[in-house]
Amino acid sequence: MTKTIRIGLILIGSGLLLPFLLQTDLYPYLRYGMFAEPVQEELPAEHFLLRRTLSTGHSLLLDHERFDLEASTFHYLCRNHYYRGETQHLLATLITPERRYQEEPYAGFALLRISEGDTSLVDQLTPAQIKALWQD
Amino acid sequence: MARLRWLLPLLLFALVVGVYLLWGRALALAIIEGNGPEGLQGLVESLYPRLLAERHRLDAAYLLSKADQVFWRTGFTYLLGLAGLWLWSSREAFRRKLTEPFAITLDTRPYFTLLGITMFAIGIYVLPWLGDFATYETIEGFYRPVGLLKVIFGTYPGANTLEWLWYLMGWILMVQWATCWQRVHLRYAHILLFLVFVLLQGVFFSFEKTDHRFAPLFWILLCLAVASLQKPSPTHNGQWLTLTRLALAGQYLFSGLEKLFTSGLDWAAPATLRFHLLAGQMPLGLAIADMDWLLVLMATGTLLLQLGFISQLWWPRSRWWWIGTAAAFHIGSWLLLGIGDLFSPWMFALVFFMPWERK
Repeated sequence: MTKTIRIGLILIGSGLLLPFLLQTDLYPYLRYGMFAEPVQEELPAEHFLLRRTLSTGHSLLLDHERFDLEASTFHYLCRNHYYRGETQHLLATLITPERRYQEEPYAGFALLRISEGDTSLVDQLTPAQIKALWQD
Repeated sequence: MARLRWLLPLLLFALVVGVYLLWGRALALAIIEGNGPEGLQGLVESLYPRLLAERHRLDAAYLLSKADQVFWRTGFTYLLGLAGLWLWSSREAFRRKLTEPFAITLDTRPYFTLLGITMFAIGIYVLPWLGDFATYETIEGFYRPVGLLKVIFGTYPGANTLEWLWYLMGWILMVQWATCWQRVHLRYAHILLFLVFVLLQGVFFSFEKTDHRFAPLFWILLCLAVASLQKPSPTHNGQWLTLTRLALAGQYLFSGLEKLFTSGLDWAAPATLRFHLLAGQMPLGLAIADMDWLLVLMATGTLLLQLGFISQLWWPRSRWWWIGTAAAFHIGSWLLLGIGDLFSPWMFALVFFMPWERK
């Protein structure tokens, strides 16, 4: 076996083993734990949406398609920011691409969480914050 | 004396298990609750950043079971490694069988044909990336560079830079594809291709969500980059093919091991697959969601496939069985769960297991 192939074997061995041991992705190595978790019925299914409100009072719910993101990526970002308590950052980032739709700033921009049939308002940007972000 | 040499590592293992059960678990719980020793707390949170979010979402007992997993997985690997070392040093037949797959030879013509197909397929798979760079630019606030990207691209590099890198990758792929028909070996192009691919993949991973669809392409390109340091020859080409097969089959093996370690044999219970079928909301998946016997059969088949797929490297006569089963598995995942599609990189990876080597 040549030296380069030995190097390859070490890279493959460590690349597959390390994420397996540490149970996490280590860029560029990945963990293959999708669907491995036992089913947890008690864990509530949750879903996130954004709501933008115009100065006319008209509201619209926005999902992943609005941002050209895959559903899984959008949900992952929303969920992580929600549990880390960084929803202001989430809203401030997601309002940026919204500027392409109209010149006048929105009157409201909010994050909604839907769990077990209940919809709750998680966080929102104030009109002053929206105005400042619109001018950036 | 020889027996003592193998007994000592086993005694050491028993000692470490005792220490973990007596003190280690309490320390793990403190870290989960955010009260661990400062340095260690920081280390765990940097290795497992999701802990910051999961701590609020999941209870401590569940997360402690994760810590136990890390411990037992390490123990399993240690014992398996020890057993492997013992067999390697004491059994000639084991040593011969283990290295047997690296003895295959791959002639120049099939080598370049396989390489050409690979370059073409990767070109097709990375085509949609070009449109994604501009999309991600609009939400660059989410950009959190992973790994070495912290140094290379501390902030989002912008759609223009990434598009240039993408064109570089596309150009290398085209040149390689074209030169494959002339049977020309491009040594450094393979390495450059791998590096650009990993860099661009890292940019996507820096938006928090890891995309597993391209994992087989990563391993194929890594093996190609490593093997390309040496000039092609039937022997070397054969070793490269085995190396790539090992990496690809290893992904199945570790997917199977993850299921066994995380859920045990209960993973094959109908509730597991039913949960995913209902979440997927695919018409065919919903139609079979109540058929317990079929769900058990499919879940058991999945485990057997993922754990057994790698065996074809040592028993090549079974290769068509494994290729067919893996293809059925990916088509089933697509039709029943809505995961992947008919032309996913995982399906393409099966091409490497076809009999390219000399008979």
